Amino acid sequence: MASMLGTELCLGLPGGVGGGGGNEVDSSLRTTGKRGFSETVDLKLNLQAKDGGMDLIKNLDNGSKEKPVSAKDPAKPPAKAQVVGWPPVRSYRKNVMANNKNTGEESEKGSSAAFVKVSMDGAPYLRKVDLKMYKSYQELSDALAKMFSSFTMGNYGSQGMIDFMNESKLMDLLNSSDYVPSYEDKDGDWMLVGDVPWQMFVDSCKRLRIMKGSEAIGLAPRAMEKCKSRA
Amino acid sequence: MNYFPDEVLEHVFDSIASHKDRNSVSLVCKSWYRIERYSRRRVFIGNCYSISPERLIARFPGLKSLTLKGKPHFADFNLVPYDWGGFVYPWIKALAESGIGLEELRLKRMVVSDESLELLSKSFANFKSLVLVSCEGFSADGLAAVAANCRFLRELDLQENEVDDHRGHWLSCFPESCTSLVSLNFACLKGEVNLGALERLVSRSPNLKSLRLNRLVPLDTLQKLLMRAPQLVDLGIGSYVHDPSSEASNKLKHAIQRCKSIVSLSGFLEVAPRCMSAIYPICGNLTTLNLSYAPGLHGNKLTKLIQHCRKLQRLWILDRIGDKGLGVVASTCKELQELRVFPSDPFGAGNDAVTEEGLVLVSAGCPKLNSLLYFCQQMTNAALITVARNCPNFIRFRLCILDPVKPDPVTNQPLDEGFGAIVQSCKRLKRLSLSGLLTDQVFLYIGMYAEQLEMLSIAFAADSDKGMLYVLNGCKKLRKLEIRDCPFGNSALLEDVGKYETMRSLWMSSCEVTLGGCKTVAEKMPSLNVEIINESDQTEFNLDEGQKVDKMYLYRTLVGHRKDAPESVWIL
Repeated sequence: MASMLGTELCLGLPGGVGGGGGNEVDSSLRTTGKRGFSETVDLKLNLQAKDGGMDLIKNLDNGSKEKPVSAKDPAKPPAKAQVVGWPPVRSYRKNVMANNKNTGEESEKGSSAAFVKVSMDGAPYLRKVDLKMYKSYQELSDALAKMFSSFTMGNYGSQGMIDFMNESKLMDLLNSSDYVPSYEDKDGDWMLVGDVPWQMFVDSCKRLRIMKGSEAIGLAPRAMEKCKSRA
Repeated sequence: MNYFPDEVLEHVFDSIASHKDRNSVSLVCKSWYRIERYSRRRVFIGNCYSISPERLIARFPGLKSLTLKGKPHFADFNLVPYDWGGFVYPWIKALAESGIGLEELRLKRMVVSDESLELLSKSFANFKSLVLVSCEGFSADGLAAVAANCRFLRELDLQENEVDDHRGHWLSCFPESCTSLVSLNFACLKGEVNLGALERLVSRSPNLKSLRLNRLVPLDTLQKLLMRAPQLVDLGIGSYVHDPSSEASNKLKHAIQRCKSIVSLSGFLEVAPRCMSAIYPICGNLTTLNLSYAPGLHGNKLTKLIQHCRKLQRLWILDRIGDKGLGVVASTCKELQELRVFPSDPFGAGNDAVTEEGLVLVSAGCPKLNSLLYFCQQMTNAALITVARNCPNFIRFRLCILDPVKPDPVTNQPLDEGFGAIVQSCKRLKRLSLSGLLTDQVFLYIGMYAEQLEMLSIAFAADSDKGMLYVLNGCKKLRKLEIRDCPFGNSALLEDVGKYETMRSLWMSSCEVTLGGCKTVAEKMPSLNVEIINESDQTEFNLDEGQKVDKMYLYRTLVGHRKDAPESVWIL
């Protein structure tokens, strides 16, 4: 852990005694308390759900099930976990390769990803999430909550699915000032998140938009139609 | 200098094409500056915030072709916020209002709105060429405006853009009178296009030399297009799935064989490997082959294809080719100059990866190799030293070991000596990207030997500020330096702030520089914009000077602070 800097502006190495410490012999660097780069890397690689990197960081706890372990080196250290922006491959290429795996002849199970853009009304920028990293609406909701910290999800009920058969419960949720997530499905329709079983949602969701409950009212009737026609 | 009339000098300057040379010419004397400025047709602006459109227009009223680059390179890897900047609209608006006869616009990493495209299409009667690389912000609507309004359009080249395109009607917007197309590349579009409109467009474009299709253009359309455009030089295939014994396959073979001019082939966005034999007849002429979006092609089918490509100069491939496959490249492609090997699993599982062996084979077999991008499982010092000896002509050398701090697996040493050999041997090296376990030593070598180096990318390397100082002091021609996750702090940053004025830009993220250090640079160098990018959810920046800065991007500029920065960016 890097030692705290004093309040004086100091041009020396962080944690060092004073300016000019950088010219000393190597051993003095070790005693300055500055974090060695290897520690930094370890810290970085072990981070969970860090801000600014959600789309590429895999939570180590539930990460490895999705990836085939390399046959070359079964004793791989945790360093195999993903780091933001590494390997340095353009997002465009990453997306194309991920989609290829989903639809190609040689699709391998478990190594594909389902990245979708997430926008939130009022937030200055969009994010991306990999839906395949979550097993339920609750997990997705938690992840989105962390990403957009002012975002509070409405009450979802025990199974994580909105009870569409109960109109009044639904109308309460949509009348509140809480945010609700909506998504664009394969047909290009905007739907309320939570109406279909989780896996079906992952397969059909193309992008997410988190909107104010009051704005989402227009979605509910259509969502209920689709739901009823499937029942 | 005054002996020749202006027209003579103009005529002489016309034959000077390179930007560097023209810049030099303009510095000779006032009259040369004046003549050069009026005769300048092409301008390249590597950082759109280094100058304003107004000043560009004032200096070069005869401008016809403009190239602009926006976001920093690391934006490609999600390290820059979505709304950071790089908007092209103000440029197009200013150019439109000035009466400049713009004919060509090339953009990289910029935000291009439909509004911009529409304004562009309506403002320049002679507009001929639009090239967008890694841009975003537009949809098929913008493309429709370009197609409909640019009557003399020759080139529409979309490379790796994020385009919002549900509806494919833009192709139908090319009027019947449009017969001037030379190049059409829509491989990055995800939506369907009107196939009939595409066929008619190709039929009435006798000058069409380059055509790159997207994934949704089926095989029978491909066959029809090839029949109508046997003069093609560059082809990007969309869907390539057929039964080799079928009638459709025969027709395709016949159509391909008629295309005797094709030297560049790419795409295969959807491919059935057993059908590749139909391509063999044209392989002997290929100088460029890009199979990096075709994960379905590997093993024997891939190597068999490559064995037909004896004239290849540029090869982009996935790491599925394996070391053995690279051996086939080495023994077949003796003219090879550029090799790019991309990871087929960009999320780093590294199952089908190449190692140092493949690279050594290629370096031994392809002595003309001068440009490399290589994503691999591992690398050794011995291999790099061998490569350096075999190929002293590298201009671009970018190595990415998938595990960011991996040492030489044989000796467990850092890769300092290997990269040191590369910079010592390759005297013309202009661009270098490092990876693997690296100490300050490699930077000592770079500072000592990499005299022509213009761009350096560093990640997870070095032990101390010394590393950065070696580079800043040694590399006199350095223009772009981008660093992430290295222990470089204020001491290195502040040693010679004047240096940054000689460079285009410096990026440092997840290093040890503090807010105080960055502020000092900004104070001492008013000709630099020092931007702090803060993407965490806190709405206010922590004003503590000792606070480490997550991301800093500084660049020289003639026009001061930009006005379009979002909340997450603070310009000091």
